[in-house]
Amino acid sequence: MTDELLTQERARALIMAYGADPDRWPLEHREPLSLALANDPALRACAADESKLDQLMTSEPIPLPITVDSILDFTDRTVALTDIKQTPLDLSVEPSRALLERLIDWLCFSGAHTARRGFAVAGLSLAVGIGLGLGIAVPSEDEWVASEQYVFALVEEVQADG
Amino acid sequence: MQRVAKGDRGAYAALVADHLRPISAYAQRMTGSVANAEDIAQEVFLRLWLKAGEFDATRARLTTWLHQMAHNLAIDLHRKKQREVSLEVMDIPDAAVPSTPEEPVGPVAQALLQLPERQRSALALTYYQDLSNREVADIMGLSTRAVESLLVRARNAMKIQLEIAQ
Repeated sequence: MTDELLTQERARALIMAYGADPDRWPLEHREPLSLALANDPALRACAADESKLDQLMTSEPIPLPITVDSILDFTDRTVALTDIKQTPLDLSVEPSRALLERLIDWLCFSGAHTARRGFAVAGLSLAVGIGLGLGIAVPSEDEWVASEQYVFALVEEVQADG
Repeated sequence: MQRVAKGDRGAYAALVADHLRPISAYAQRMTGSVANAEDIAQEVFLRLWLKAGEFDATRARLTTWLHQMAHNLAIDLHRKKQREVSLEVMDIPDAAVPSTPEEPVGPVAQALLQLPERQRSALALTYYQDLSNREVADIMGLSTRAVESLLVRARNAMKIQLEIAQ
């Protein structure tokens, strides 16, 4: 889409949003904006003002202390610890149920039979009940918030994908 | 991505190598912390490994998909910090809760961290991440005009912070 009828106000707004460097302008605006800039001294003054910020913003490179190996190690460790399978989510199953199924599978050392799964479910319910009742092993508020955010983010993603 | 979805660790490592720098830089600019940036990057690439089969190349570029995840995680982190500030600050409508960098940073990074969350996201995604205006709008769930409005406000605030004469 070209923006043939670029008003001075719109051209100014674009320069103030994207800066003075044409390489940073949206493709559809580059040609009309370059034309407007060439013919309008007020726009050129605006661009000169914005270029000062452009220069400053590129003056501080961000260091990269994070290594590829550390990312791979984290993935390996997390997958090994949780035994989450690398498979697409089955959207025919409710997300909360899918998570519970995975947890039960994990408790059953993956691939246990139905009877053992039954014991695992009962045992899990009992353990949660006793844990909450006695107030032991209850995570701190920060841990709860972190785990809530993680679960909410997963659920939001599943809903968004659905 | 199909190879990653099939469990090809070499393909996964290659994708991590290609995308680690922009993702961690974005996370670092959003959080002001190398540790938080590392947490976000680890989470993003874990999800890449686990959900590669769900990626639809007809809907978005891979970099956009990864930035979307990093953005959501950075926002979650920011909101967690917001809950920790006093009720007094939270009562101000649309209040900006300035982030405090955990490591020494330059004046530009410092000024960026003082921006409200959405302005910071818009500026970081547009200016540093090599994404188109439509991709930034998609990541933020806004129209391109709304992103432009955030950019104008962000740049004006940056000029004031950095004492650039207007």
